Amino acid sequence: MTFSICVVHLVPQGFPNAFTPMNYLKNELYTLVKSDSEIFDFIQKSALDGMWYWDLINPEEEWMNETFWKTLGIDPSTKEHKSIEWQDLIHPEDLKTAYGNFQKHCEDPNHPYDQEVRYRHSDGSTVWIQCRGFAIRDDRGKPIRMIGAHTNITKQKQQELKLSEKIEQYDLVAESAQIGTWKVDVENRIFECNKIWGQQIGYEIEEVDSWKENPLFCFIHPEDKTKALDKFKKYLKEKKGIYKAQFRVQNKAGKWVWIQDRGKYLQDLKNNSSTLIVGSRKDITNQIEEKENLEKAFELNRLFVDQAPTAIAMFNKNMEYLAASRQWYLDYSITIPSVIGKSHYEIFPEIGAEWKGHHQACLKGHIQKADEEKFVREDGSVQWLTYEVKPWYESEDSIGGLIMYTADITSIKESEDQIQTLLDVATSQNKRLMNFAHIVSHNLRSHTGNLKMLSELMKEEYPETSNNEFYPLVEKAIKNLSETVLNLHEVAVINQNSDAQLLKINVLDYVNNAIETVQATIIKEGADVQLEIDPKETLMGIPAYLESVFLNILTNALKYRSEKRSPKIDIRLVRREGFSEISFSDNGMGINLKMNGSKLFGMYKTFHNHKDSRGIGLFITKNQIEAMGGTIICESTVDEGTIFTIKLKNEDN
Amino acid sequence: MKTIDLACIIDDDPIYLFGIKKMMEVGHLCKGFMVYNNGLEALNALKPMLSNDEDFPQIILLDLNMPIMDGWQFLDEIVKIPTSKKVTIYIVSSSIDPMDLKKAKQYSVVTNYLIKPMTIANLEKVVNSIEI
Repeated sequence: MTFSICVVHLVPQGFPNAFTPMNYLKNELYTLVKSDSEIFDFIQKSALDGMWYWDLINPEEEWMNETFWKTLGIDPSTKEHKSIEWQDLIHPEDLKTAYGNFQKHCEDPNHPYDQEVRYRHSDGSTVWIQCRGFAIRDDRGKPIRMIGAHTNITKQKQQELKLSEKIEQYDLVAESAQIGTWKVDVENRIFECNKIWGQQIGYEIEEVDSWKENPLFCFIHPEDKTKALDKFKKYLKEKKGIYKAQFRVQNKAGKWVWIQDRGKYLQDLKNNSSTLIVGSRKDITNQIEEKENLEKAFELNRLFVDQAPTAIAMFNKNMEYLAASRQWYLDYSITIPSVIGKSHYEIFPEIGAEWKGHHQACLKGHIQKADEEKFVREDGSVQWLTYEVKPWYESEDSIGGLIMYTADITSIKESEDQIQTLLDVATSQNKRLMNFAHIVSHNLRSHTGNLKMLSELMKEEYPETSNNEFYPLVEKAIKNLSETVLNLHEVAVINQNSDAQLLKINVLDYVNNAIETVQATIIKEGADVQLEIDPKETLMGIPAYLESVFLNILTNALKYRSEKRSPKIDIRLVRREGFSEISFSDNGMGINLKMNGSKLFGMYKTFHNHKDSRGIGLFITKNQIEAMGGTIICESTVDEGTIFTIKLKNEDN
Repeated sequence: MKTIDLACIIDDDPIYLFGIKKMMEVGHLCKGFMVYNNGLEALNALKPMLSNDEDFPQIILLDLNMPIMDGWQFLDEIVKIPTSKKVTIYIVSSSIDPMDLKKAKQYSVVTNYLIKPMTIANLEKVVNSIEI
C-alpha cells in the first residue's frame, strides 16, 4: 500500500512549458506571485501546513514560516530562523531517513525529497508530516538553497493505524474460531486467504498461491464439484444474499474434509470493474460425522423401540411419530401399516386439549406420569393404564421430542382387586376371631366359673347330694370344660397380639430362665442339660412368647422322656445371615412323624398316652413363633429322640 | 377368723350373686350385704354414704362386665368423689384378658384383681387381708 503522489506537481515551476500554451489565469497568477508578495504570503500561510527555506551554504540558517510552528502547537515568536530549532522535535529515525533522501536528492535531482516524518507536538502527541522539498542549484548544478513544504497527515495516519488494528483483531478472531477467510477477485482471477484457510486442508499459504485453478474449488470431491460451482456461478449472477456451499475437499494427507463456505459480494471501491467475493470457510467434518453417528444410533433406537415388549412411541417436536413399538400398534388397535411421520393427533383425533397441553408441557421439559389411571372407554369398559410421557434430548439442553410409554395394567388391577377382596374377608374373619376371643375370656368363662362355684358350694353345703355316682362325673365334666375354655382363650389371645412389637432378647438368659423353672424335674429325673449358646446372642421376639416357647419345649422334652435311659437335652444356637436357629434335641420317646407329622402342631393333638397331655402346647408354641415371624420344625425318630428347631430373626431389619 | 360387717357386691349375674352370698354365709365371713346389679345403681347408693355418717362397706367386690355402667366406668366415677372414708375395692371378674389385669393396676383404689370362679378359700383370704 503506498500513498505516493508525484512530487513534480508541487515544485514551483519558474518557467512555463514551451510546448503547451499556458492558461491565462495561470499565467496571470504566476505574474502576480512575482510582482505582489501578498499572493505568495497567502499561499504559504493558508495552502500549506508549514514552509521552509534553507541556506545550504550556511546550513544553520533556515527560514520557517509561522504555520510551520503553529502546526506543531508552538508560538512562532519563540523560535528563531535557525535550522537547529526543529532538529530536537523531529523523530530521530525520520531525521535519518530525511537526511538520506536529502543527500540523494542533492546528487540526483530526479530522486525526490519526499517522506513522512514524525514531529513532537507541544502537547507531547505525534504530528505526522509529509515533508517534501526541492533543491535550488547554481549554474554548475550545485545545490545552494532548499525549499520545502509540510502537509499535516496525522488524521490519515491515525485512521490507517485504527484500520490495521481492526484488521489484526479480525485476523485473530478468525484464527481463534478456526475460520478460514478468503477473497476472490473474479475478473482478475486473484485469490487471497488467511493461514487457517490453508491449514484446514493441510497447506501453507505459499503453496496455495502457486495453484493455477481457483483455490476455492481445488481438490473438491467430484460428487460435490458441479453442485458447488453451480451455486457459486448463480451467486455471481444474482449477487443476492449470501453464497453458501457445503462439500468435501481432499486434504494434503488424502483425507476428505467436510467444508462449509459462506461468501458475500463486496463492491470494490477502488476498481468498479472487478467483482469481489469475500467469505469464510469452516471445517464441519466433526459435525457431519456426529450427525451421521446420531442417525445411525437413532436407527438402532428405532429398531429397539420396534421390538420393545411394551407400548412405546417416540415423537418429534411436532408430535409426529419417529418410532413406535409393535405393542403400541396392538394396544391402540392401529391398523394402518406405519404411523412413522404421521401426527399423533391425526392417528388419534379424539385426543383432547388437556392431553395436548400435557404434551406441550413435556416438550418444555416436564415429565407426565401416572402409576395407575382409570380410563373409561366409549363402550363403558374400564381400562387401567400406567404411563409416562417425557422429553428426549437432542443435545444437553435441546429437547428433540417426546417418548411415550404406556402399559395396560387392567388385568393386574383386576387381580389386585381380587386380592383386596380376599384381604377384606380375612380382615373380617380376624375381627370375628377377636370377638370370639372376647366371648371366650368373658362370657364362656363366667358360665364355667359359675358352674364350678355352684358344684363346689353344693358339695360343701349339701354333702349328701354329691355322694352318688353322677356327681364326680359332673365335677369332671365341669373341670374339662373350664380347661378347654382356658386353652381357647390362650389361642385367641395369640392371634390378637400378632402385631406386638419385636424386641431384642438375650437368648441365653431366656433359656436359663426356662431351665430354672423346670429345675425340680431336672434334678428328680437326673436329666443332663447341655448348652451351646454364646452369651452375646440375641433374637428378635416377644418376651412372654419366647419364655413360653422355651418352657413348653423343655417341659415336653422332660415329660416325654424315655423310660429306658436318663434324659439328655442339648440346646444350641447356630447363627446364620439375618436369622438364628436354636435347636432342642432330646433322647426321649420320639414321635412317629410318618403317622402324626401333619397333626404335630395341631390343636388338641396328643401323641402319647401321657396323663398330662393336653394337646395344646405345641399348637400354642407354633402360633407364638409365627407371631414373632419365625418358624419351627420337628425331626424325630421313635425311641431315639426329638429335635425341635426354631428359626427367628436375630436382627431388627 | 375375721368377719366383715358390711360388704358391697356389684354384679349383674344372679348365679354369681347367689353363690357369693352363700359362700359368705357358709364361711361366716360377713354380716350384711349391699347388692347392686350395675355400676350406676351402686354409685347412686354409695355416693351419699361417702359424705354422711353412715357406715361405708368395708369391702366392695366389683364385676367388670355389666350393663348400663360397667366396672371401669364405676371406678372412674367413684375416685372423683372426695371422702375421708377408706374405700377398698376388689375386682372380681371372669376375664383373664391380660389387658384387663394391666388396666386394673392403674387404679390405686383397686386392692386386687380376683378371677372367677371364687371359692370359699379365696374369699377367706380376702376377708382376712382386710384391715378392720
